[in-house]
Amino acid sequence: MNTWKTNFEESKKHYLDWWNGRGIVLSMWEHLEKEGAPYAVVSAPPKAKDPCQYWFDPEWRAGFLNYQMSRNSYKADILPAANTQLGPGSLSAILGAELEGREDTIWIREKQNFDGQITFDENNPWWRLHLDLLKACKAKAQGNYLVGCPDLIEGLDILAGLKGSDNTLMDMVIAPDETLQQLQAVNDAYFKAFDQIYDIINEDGEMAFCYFSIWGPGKVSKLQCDLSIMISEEDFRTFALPFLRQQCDKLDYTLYHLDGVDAIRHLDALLELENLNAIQWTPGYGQPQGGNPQWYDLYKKILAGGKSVMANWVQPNELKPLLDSVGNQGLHINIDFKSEREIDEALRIVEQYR
Amino acid sequence: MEDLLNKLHNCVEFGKTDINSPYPPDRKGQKGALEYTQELLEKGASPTNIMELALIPAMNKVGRKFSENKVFVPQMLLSAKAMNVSVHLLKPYFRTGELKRKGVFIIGTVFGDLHDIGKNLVAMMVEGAGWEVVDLGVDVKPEKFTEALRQHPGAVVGLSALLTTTMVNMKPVVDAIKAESPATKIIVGGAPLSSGYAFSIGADGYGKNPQENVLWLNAIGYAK
Repeated sequence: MNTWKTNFEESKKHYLDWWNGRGIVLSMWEHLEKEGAPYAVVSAPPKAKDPCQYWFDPEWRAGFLNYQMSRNSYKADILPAANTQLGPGSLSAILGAELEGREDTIWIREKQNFDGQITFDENNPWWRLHLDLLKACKAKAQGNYLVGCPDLIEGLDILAGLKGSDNTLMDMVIAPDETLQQLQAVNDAYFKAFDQIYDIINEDGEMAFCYFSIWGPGKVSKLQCDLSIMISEEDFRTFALPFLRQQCDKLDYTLYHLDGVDAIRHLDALLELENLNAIQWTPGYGQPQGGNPQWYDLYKKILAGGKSVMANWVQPNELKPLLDSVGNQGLHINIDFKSEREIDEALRIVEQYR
Repeated sequence: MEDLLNKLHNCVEFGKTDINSPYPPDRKGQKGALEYTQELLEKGASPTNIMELALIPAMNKVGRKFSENKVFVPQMLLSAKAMNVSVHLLKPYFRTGELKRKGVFIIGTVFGDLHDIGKNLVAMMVEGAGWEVVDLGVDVKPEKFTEALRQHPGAVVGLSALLTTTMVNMKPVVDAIKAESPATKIIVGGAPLSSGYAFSIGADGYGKNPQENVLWLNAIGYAK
């Protein structure tokens, strides 16, 4: 594969090392526009007629992403991966919930009259859209970049997308056996969807995820349980951990998205997942962001637990102190870059630690 | 009577809704909040005592345990559900005026945001604290809040948002409410918020968790 990222082979080595607890990945959340001429002459698409076209028209969106990808910077370890997300937790829609495209995001509306049955219907229109969008993007990419895996999500977050957070949380207490059966059905559907998506988007067996800047040989995914901030450690171990374990065991490389201070209480359980490779920390709004010394001990605990770390929204001036304190092994640092000049400066620092 | 009130308090605290509810497992087949409330009313207990000696203190206790991480959202939801069946039986007494609400609390998730769990929890806790709750739902535009205020003059307003991208929509709602009714008190809450942010947009209060909303309502003097 010959992408628009000229240093991809070097970055791939960085990612592989990082998944295995070594070295440093230097990247950013999504992309910034490169300086100078684009990689290819790609016409800007006409303005989307409405949010529905912006998100749900495969041909339009593939053209739009192709235009964007031709103008992004892929310096350092920034990935040439198109963001094909169809909402956070689009597996809910595949299983019967509804997507609603708005200007800034896609919302997921609960399944009407959810009867407790979770079945993967190959003819579900939102599933067909996933396939159509990914195929259109792949055709447009022509190997110049990777087509990222949509943010399917799994487990309790998907159940909440189907029957509402309130019902999901109460059912954990009043109908635990049924909830566990539903969670298994969600995981079964996840693997069915993921495998078909992988077949479309992989390039020589490699793939990237739409968010979180992750790439790897084989099947790669970000895992999460945002509902975990509302439940006890005991319930997390009962209703989340077994299903996360299945994912970690079946997929080749996995990153857990630990979201918010209230989720930290589940870290010990997460560190017990033998095949989980890495943990990403999102402090949340109002908290110091990923490069702040407040989180150094958290990163050290994750590393000591045998998992790699992803630190997000690090400021350029926080890079060196972070590396000095946390070390240079198993650290994926996403900096809030504003220009390619900032990327070059950060690279100079990182090179001293590699 | 005191024994029955204690039993009702206990059912609400531990989320035992009625005799058929499977939770808590060790109380299967036992009476719940529904049956004890019926029994109390049949025996002539005053609705005010039911509210003030059983339901409100039970929900306050649940709120405190939640703040201390002794119970979590699922248990809190079940307590609120148990309380709701009891409050439902008391509704006729609110209508006749025999039982008085502490005030009206209008709540909604601001426009652009479809999250409802935080809003629902606050609504349940505030109702459990003796307020009439007017729940406007999610994705609520400023004009819907002001319209509700016109229907419920003197109400307190609660705004919820769960995302950094939608919390900015709180300010236009606050502005619209204050323009229409400067004396109206507004409390805001949601995962990405802070007290600093709340006051910067002109809100009067910030609720970090549902219990803080109740405490704030007590503190501003609307409640006993």
